Amino acid sequence: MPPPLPVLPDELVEEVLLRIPPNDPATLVRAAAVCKCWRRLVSDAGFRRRFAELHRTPPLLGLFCQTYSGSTFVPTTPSCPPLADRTNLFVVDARHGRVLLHSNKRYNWNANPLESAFVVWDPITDEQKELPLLSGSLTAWSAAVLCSGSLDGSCLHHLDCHGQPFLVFLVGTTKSSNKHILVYYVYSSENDSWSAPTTIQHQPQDPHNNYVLWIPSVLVGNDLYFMLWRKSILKCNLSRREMSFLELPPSCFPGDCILMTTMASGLGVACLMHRRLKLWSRVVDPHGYEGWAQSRVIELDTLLPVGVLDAKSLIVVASPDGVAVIFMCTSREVFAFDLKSTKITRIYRGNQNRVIFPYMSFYTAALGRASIGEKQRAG
Amino acid sequence: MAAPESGDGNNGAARMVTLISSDNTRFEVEAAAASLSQTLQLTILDGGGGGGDGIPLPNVDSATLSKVLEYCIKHAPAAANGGAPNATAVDRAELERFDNEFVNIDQSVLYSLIMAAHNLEIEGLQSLVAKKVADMIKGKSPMEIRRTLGFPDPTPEEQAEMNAHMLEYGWAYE
Repeated sequence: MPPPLPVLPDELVEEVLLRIPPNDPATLVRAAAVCKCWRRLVSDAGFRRRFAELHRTPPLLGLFCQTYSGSTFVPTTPSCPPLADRTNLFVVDARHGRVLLHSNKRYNWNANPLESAFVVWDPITDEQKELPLLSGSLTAWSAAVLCSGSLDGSCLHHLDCHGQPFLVFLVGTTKSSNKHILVYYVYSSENDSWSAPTTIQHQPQDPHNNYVLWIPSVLVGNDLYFMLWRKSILKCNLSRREMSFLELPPSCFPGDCILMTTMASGLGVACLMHRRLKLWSRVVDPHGYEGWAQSRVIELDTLLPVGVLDAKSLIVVASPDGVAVIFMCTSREVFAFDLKSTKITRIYRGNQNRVIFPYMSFYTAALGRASIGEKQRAG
Repeated sequence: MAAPESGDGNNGAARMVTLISSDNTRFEVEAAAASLSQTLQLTILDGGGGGGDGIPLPNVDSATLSKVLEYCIKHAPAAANGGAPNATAVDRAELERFDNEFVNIDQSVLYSLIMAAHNLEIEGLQSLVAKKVADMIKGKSPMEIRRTLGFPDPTPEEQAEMNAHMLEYGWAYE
């Protein structure tokens, strides 16, 4: 029999546990059960911080999809926790580990969203917050949730901001003296209140040009971008509270496009048209003029399973921040297109509303919560 | 395949230092390679280890030290380039291949290596072995992890805790 192995000191056990891949939460969870010491190590706030700092980017755990009765979670990693499905609450956005839910679903565009409360839910810690109701009426709206630390740069990479203050940005059109005007509200969890509605200046004259679409918004630095009906994008600078509009790239139409962040962390657009996926990047030329540059064209004919390209319901739906993946779906299937390997895989088969939000988070926060629960039970 | 002229970057010619293992074996090695260890680097900068003196390492046996030095010699040229920002893809691939083979060893040697890397503060080596041990526990149940890493059999209380955990986190055991 070989001599018994020495017991590794705690700091080396921690070095080992820190190197469990972030997209394998199951191994981390099982490691927590090895002994009391290991459990204490992984549930410590310091471990959580070091784990996030070492791995830098929260892993893509899966997708929250709107279904006809609520929201369902589709894991994209093999060892993912079953984040709860929600009935009668429809996913509106997901960012920085939080999910924004509302009882209005897509295609229920004209129902006034201010009649029921928005809910911000952290699926990892299973904490949720119902936001105060707003008065008034809104239509053709969208909303985004984000960590408050995004604004002042105090939470640069959102590695472990579960439980930290957050903002909800709500934008839509309201009718005033028979005109449709774009207004926005900002909710801050720090004072648990909404700002008064603010009218967006210099909005397009054509009222049909200011309907906000329920396509995932994109956060680039301090700028939040929403897609509008017809041909424009609303740019909201969150720190200066300045709103402006930009055009979509040439021959792109909102129904065929999504907003995304490019690999260079700028604003991008992916457009699915004529059996091709075209990628555009927002660039500034040497003279300071901003514009769109086409960065890639991908022929999809040989990449998707037979018949999928012909499905009328095929659209491009979302692209998680900083991950070179674009999700496409029909009303029955969801596909992940890996931009690096140019491979497409089917990740879900089931009916959904074609409203899909990638969910990225470290799982370590849940282990921290488990240890707190344990202490409470013990005490 | 260490670069012969790498030296410590200041003196031109490669400066050599002597390290003495716990079982009194002497290893002569380039200062640049030994300096991958933060602890040794301080001693070497102070002028230690040269001539007939040698630096005694009472916590590291000769088998482990020779393995540690194999790693240091291989990684010294890249480390001298400040983490090798200008290394070619070929160089990086070669280092990666070396690293993968290097940790493909008996577990008791792995443990001695990570302890030595920890004592001598060789960050890259500590990280490499830690990653290997993390790979070894991937996909295993808590009981299998305990067996793999040579834990004693669980007490009844520990066994009950493991069972309770399995019930609570059923998804992680599927």
